[in-house]
Amino acid sequence: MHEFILSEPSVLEPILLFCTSILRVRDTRSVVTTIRALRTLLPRFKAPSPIRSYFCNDVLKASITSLHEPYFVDCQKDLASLIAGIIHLEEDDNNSANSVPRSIILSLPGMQDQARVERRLAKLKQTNRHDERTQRSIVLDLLSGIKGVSIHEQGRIQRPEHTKKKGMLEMYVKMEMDQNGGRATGIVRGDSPGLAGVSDMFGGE
Amino acid sequence: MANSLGLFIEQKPQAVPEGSDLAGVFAFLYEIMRNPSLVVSIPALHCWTKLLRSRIVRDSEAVTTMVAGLLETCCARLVRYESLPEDSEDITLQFLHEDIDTTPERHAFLGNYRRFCADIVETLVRRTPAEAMEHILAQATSMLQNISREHATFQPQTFSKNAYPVLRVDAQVTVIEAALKGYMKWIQAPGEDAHDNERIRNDLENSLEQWGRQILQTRFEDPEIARKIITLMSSLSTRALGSRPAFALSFLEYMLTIRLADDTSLVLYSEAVKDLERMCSLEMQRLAMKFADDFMNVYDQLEAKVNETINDHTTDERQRMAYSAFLFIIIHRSTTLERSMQEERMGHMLNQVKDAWRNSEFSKAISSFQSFCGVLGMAPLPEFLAANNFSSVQDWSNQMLPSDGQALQATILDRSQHLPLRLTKALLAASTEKLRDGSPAYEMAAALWAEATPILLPNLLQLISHAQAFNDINHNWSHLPPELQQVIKRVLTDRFWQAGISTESRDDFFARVSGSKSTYEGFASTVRGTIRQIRESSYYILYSLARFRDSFYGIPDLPGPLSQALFGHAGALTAHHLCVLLTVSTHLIEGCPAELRPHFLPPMIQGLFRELDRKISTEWNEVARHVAESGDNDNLTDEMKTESILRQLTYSAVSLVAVLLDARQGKSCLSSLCRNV
Repeated sequence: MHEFILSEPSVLEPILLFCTSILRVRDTRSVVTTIRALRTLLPRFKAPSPIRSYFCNDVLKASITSLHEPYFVDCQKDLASLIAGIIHLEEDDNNSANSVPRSIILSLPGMQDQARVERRLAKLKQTNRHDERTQRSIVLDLLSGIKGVSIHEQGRIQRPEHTKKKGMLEMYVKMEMDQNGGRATGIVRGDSPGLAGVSDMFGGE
Repeated sequence: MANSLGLFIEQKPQAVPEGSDLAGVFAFLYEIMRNPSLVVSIPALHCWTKLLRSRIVRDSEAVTTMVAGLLETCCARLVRYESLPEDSEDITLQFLHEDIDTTPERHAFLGNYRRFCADIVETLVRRTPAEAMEHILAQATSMLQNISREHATFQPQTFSKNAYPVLRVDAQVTVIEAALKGYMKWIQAPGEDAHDNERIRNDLENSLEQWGRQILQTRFEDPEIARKIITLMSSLSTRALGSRPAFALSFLEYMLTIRLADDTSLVLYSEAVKDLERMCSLEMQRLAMKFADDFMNVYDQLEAKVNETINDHTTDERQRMAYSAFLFIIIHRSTTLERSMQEERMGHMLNQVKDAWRNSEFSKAISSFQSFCGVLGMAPLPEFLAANNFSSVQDWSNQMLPSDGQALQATILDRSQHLPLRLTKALLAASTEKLRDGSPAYEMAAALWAEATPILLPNLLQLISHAQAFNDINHNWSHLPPELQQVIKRVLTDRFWQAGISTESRDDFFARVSGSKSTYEGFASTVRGTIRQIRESSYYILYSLARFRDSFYGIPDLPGPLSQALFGHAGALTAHHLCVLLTVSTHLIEGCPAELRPHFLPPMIQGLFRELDRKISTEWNEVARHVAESGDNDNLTDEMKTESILRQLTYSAVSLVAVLLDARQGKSCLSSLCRNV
């Protein structure tokens, strides 16, 4: 399936458009899953193509915008890895000094110190591509002026101590809720409950 | 503390020092577990579910003496405490109300408590099937006898789903279901002595069958009790007694002869009677799939009996089709009937489907949106809503429907029955459920449906298209005055119950819904429910046809029109309805045979992701806007519901992307969820 989709731009395009929208959606689980799917595609689009341009432009911009927003602090590591992967896309081109990701980053507010940016980009290029941790820490460092800060870190609100030891009762009340949440939907429609819709057919056995 | 102690023993039995008073600890845990306060009891109960998994604990002498007590407590506490009247004298219930404040939490807690109890019953039966089962069956017999003795006084007028006898039967059925589960597990992994196992198994089957037959001697007048008994007999017959067709036949006969007198003036009772009838026909079909050859041996008698019911004027349309599907299944799944005979009889039944879909009057009637509304009796809808001033009534659930409204409601319900969807759905389900791809029965069904598919598809797509466009206010209702457009919008708004979010209980919600049938809200519900039913039945038909692979996916001019029908007006659906559409689309996309992908997938994927992108982006922006503007007076519950549905839609869509782009191309994320086999 995946081969077919990657080889058929008319199918891949709507999917990529959709993924780019998801990068901006306030649902951490969906954002993280989407990022992982997108990252697996990157190695396939090293050669110049409309798809590669799309990654270097639209996907990159969406990633940076989310990185900037406080809501996405929990996805910052994943976003940074995706950004690192996109920066690498054009770096083997003959004229990598003109690469789109590079100029987008330079155009960001707070990136006037071009020498600093160049140093970070060079460092990124030298680091082992498989060393994900270093890769993303360089990106987070590079974009440190842009990256969003959670309201807890802003010092206004103390994040409550991670309460691991919740009351016994709370645990038993909650387990069930989790189960419901994890089930097909946990939603019951009000109208004509006796009528089995497709959702029941699929969710059932 | 007790919980931790118990868990320690379970996890590190070797670390328990020699000479420790294990028996004392067990006795202590046992006492806590039996405490009348369930909140006190649950840690110990939970602990027992884990302890009993350990063979050393299970077989220890100390525990052996407690088995009977454990079993008894668990069985007794499987009752639905949340359905008992609040002013009950029951001490456990009083503790419960004292200990847990809110209804959703109480329900969640009780759900957990019952699960642990069922788990213990299951484990104990698995440990010593013969003894435990004997004990459980004996208890059940005496309880059911008591019920049916007390039950001589059952009055349809006072019927309630939560009547005390119903709750007792429910608890008992849960116990036996758990016991059967334990027994089935024992069968899969019995003891070491094969000879001994065979003997135990045979004895157990004998006593289960004998017990079952004894139950089948009793007629239960309360439809809710009868329904629970039938569910239980079904798992007994198809699972534990799968090798005893004689029992299946007796059970079948029981269901064929069960006829409770309906009384439509008693709404709750009448609904329960209908539920029971549906349950019976569904279980009959299930039996037919399992015992087709045995039923074939007595086919002529069965057919005569079934036809008698079909021709009875009190049988409703839905039941008629279910009965036809039952006969269809026997013929289809029989391995003894000659193939030509099978094909002839099944073909004959399928002709009904073909004729209904290619009927030229029907085709004409659904050719435009206006005529589609007319077919459903909804042509006068705008006038009716305006004349009855729906726009200025605040609480629709408290406004009674006038008699012309009730007449219109009845017409809509009746008209929707005349669409060929239900018959098609019933026969498709009969043709595909619990059938392995590639089996002879599957091949035969595929060949027969390959002829019918091209005949029904054009009109089916037309129906889907109209049923989705119905929700498209801008497209189809824009000619109405703005306040009437608002009314239509409200008519199309579902009522939901959501686990963990809704403040009322699930039962209360259903009671509220079914109690408002003859109100403005009930009328609105009929309208949207009818349209939704058309969509979802159509989806089911598509999904089932797709199981025949090439004969569906290979149809030359299918992909474009299909995509247009499914996604043309999809933007008008709510996030929840879009979820259903996404589910069926995911099946269609994933089920496409590799060689037909270039043909089938492009229009489907383009349409689907275009709509998902649009819907999900818009709705999230809307949520963000709400959050930004939120004030103290906002309806938080509604916001949480909207957001939770949106999250589900988003994640389901993202999961499909992950599957589509997954290089490892493992099994699809849905395949484990939805195989009908």
